[in-house]
Amino acid sequence: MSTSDSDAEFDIQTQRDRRVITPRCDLDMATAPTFRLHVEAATEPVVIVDFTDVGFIDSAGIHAVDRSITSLSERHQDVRLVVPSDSIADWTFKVAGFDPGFFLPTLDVALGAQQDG
Amino acid sequence: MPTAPDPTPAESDAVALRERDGRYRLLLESTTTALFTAAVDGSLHPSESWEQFTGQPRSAYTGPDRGGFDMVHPDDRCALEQDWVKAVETRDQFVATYRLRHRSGEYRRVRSHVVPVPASDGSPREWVGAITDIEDELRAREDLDRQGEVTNTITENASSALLLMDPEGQATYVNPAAVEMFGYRLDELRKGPLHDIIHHTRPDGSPYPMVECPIDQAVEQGRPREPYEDVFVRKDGTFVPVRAAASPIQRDGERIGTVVEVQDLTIEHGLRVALEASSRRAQFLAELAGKLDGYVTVHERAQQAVEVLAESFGGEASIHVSLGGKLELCGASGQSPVVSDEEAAAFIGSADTTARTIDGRHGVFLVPILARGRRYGVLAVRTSGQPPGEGCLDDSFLDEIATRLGLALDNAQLYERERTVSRTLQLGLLRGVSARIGDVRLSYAYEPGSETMAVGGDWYDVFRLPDGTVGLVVGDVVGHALEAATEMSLLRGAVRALAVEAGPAELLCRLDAVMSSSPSDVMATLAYAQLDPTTSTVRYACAGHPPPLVMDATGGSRLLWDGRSMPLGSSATTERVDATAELGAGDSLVLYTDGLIERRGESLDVGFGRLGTSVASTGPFDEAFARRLTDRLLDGSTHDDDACVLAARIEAPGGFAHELHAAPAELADLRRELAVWLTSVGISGETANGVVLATSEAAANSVEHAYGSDHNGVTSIHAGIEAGELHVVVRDHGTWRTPNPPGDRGRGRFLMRAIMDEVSFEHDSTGTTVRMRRRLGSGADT
Repeated sequence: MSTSDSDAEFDIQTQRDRRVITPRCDLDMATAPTFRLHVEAATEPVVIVDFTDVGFIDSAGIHAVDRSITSLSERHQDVRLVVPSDSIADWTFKVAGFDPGFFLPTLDVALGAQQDG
Repeated sequence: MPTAPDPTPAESDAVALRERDGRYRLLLESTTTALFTAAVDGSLHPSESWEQFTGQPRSAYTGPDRGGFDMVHPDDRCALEQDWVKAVETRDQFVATYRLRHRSGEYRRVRSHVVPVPASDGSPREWVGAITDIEDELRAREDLDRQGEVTNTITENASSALLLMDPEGQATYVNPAAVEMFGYRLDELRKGPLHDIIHHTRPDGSPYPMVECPIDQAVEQGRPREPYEDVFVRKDGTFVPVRAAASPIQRDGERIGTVVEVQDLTIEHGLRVALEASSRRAQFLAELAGKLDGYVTVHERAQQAVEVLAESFGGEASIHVSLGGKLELCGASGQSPVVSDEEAAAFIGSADTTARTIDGRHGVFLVPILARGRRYGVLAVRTSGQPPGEGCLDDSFLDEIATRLGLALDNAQLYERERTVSRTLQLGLLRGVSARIGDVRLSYAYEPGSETMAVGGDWYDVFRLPDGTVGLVVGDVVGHALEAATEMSLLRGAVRALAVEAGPAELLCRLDAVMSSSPSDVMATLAYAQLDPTTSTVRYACAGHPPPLVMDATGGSRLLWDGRSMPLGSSATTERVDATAELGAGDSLVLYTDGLIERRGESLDVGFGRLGTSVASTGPFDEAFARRLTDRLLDGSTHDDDACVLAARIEAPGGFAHELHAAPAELADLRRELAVWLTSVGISGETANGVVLATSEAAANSVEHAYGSDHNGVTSIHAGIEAGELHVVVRDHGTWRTPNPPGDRGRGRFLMRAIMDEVSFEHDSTGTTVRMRRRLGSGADT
């Protein structure tokens, strides 16, 4: 596992073919572009975004998440979102109308999850 | 006269005698017209004085045929001849009066006194006769008699009483008028000094000593007393007003009596008193009306009236007036009313409309007060001493007073009723304004105009609008009381209703429509301000109204001169505009009516200057702020117009305020501070998350869309809690641009709407305001 591209706001870890991106900041209009940059820059087959420590996500953040997921999906990358229940992210995504079934409760679950096809 | 019939031998003796006794002769000649002597038989001796008087030649009368009788008037001749024959026979003197022809041919009445002159033996020797011309004397007497008759006729029939007093002051003669006037007969008047009989007492009952009597004083000094007015006493003890004059009668420098002329002035006095009374009445009524005009209410006027009456006529007065169907005591000059409520009611209800008294209440007189044909009240008067009718307060005068009272009181009641209705309306409108609406603290004052007849139509109102702003309005309806109050009520309702969906300018437009459809022809001015406590801004418009004032925390002030247009109801069509002003921390907004600053004969600038000065020294903003400001501005001056003040100040204890300088990176700070604030007010969990998210979204919208790359603009974020609701207002001042990409904006709005109960966007020339509201439950989410 190597660490790359990490900064104060985003912790990015790569484990074998899995990249784990952990935002440690609010996802808003100020950080959304960076978030999207980090996520879409991932070339690993599995990209895990851990929202556990995200304190705030606004529409810009949601938009960035949405766009980046779409982007990666179009590239046939497996995007896994770690959104603990009762977290800010969980609440925000639900408010935004995301399908909660898409969320994984913990990073461990995300790391162990089998990739379909 | 006749010649002595028989001349006697003693003729020469007689002549001798006469000649001898010069003194005798002189005496005779000085007092008689003619002297003659005659013989015993009656034949006349020659007489120069006879001839001188009669012009008869001596030969004609000295003969034995008694030619002297020819000179006697034929009608008197026979009687005289008989007297003469008889005298000769009896030898007795005689006196005769007859007409003797004067040499002028005129018969003059003479008196002759013929005396026999005896001889030494006692037998008549001759006759001596003295003839006195008494014609002048008799004529004079006849004239006098004639004059006396006239005088008598005059005195006997004179309306003046004539009384003749002797030097002792006792009556010696009175004419019938005097008998009539005083009721005494002459013999009764003679029982003592006249003064003691008809002039002994003054009208006030005090004795009238004779030494003080002007007549007696004049008489005493022997001077006439010029006519003067006095009062005499009749036999029956009543007084008679008179004009009296006295003239002393003197003979040979000696006072022998006094004529007193007395003229009865009862009628003249009556006329004069009546005239004076009439003039006094007219004057009194005018004064009464004038005094009553100075008062407005029925009670004030009634009280004033009874005080005037009591003061002018003595005694006490009270007034009961039918108010609202019930007879009510409205004025009493004394401690207690002259008549009780029950007595007044019985009088009003009595079928006997001519009654003016109450049985058993001596000296109390009641008069109905009529107004518009009905018995409206009762004036009760208790006189002091003299009964009405004798003095000024007789029935007719009381009736006149009551008529005036009726008018004055009825008018007062009509006016009062109208004024009460308008005041009730006005006060009703002004009630229900609270000291605080949300974070807006309020202070207000209303001062009715002092000019009694002018009822101002000032009003104010404060209400909260659904978007969390506070509507403040101060208006002035120009018109007559009731109409103004009605219009005021209409306007107030219209403002409240229309303000929900219209900004200030739009509100005025719609009010124009309301006014034009109103039947009354009144004008109204108003200042409307929409105060946004979360953004500390005020959007305002003035329709012909003085500009709102903004006072800062240090007492400095400025007037908001923008957003001005014509008064409501003015015929000129006008474009309605509004303006927005920022309120700094600690600023207060003051709306007021012109009555607060306008003074007669003073320019409005002076008024504005005084307003600024007064505001600076009114002290801190609290509930009494407007009251103090009003008192300060109206202090010591007469203000005809209503004055009202409505002051507002945004105070948000525990409220949240944040400013964002259009840099996206600052949004995190906003959220953090907002979260801290939310926690401090007990909001946590999902609610807190949602509020933070929605607020951030709104702020981000401003930052991204309103400013674009221009990061110098400021976005203000205010949040507050009121009545179980959280309000968030995010306001920017940039030019709204069509957002790009549209997706973000759509998601942002979607989020805001998903989270908050209410979200609104408002764009105008000055920027964009996002208002959000969320109900706060009492349960787990708070």
